[in-house]
Amino acid sequence: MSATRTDGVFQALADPNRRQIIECLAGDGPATATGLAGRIGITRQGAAKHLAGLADAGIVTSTREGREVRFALRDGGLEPGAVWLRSVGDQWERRLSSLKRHLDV
Amino acid sequence: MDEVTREVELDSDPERAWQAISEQSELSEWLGGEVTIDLRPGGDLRVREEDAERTGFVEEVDQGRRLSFWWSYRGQEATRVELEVTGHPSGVGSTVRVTESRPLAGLERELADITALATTV
Repeated sequence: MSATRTDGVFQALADPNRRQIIECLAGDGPATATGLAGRIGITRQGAAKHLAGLADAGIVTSTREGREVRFALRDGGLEPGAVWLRSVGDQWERRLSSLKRHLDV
Repeated sequence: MDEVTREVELDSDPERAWQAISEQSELSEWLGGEVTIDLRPGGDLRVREEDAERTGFVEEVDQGRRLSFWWSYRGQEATRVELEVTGHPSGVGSTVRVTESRPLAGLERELADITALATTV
């Protein structure tokens, strides 16, 4: 029943490294990929990949600060309702763009 | 209730926009799958996507203006979609507004609560 709305979140949380990243962000606040990699014991590239996945699922947000990108937990990012709103909103934006392309040629 | 609203401004007039949101060959051009729709209350709706299919039914049709339907993937929560066309006061162009909502989401939670309560009694 709830497969569509929570899929992204479950997928994001299925990986133990991602769960550790979330725990670090929840416990210690915003951090960079390098900082998180050091704390968890994985490569910076690995951390960056997980963070990108978490951002896609709407769980974390990123802000550029000078040469660094800091990641933080998004408010309400782990609530399935929030995930549903974002994914359904994105789908309609894509469909309505297609509608416009279809009509306004 | 969870509800998402999006809209798009079109150069087309409302008549053309209505065609695009209510005729199956037109819907198939932009909705994201091959659409079959029986445009009357209770009529069947089917959207064949690349690797999945949504089925549902038409709720209401306000000819030339508004269309609402319910759809869901097999075995998943059904959601309600309302598509509305409005003309512009200038007489040129139109707006299509869509609202998708989850009227059954609260019900699902209530049922889960009732079931949980029933098993503890």
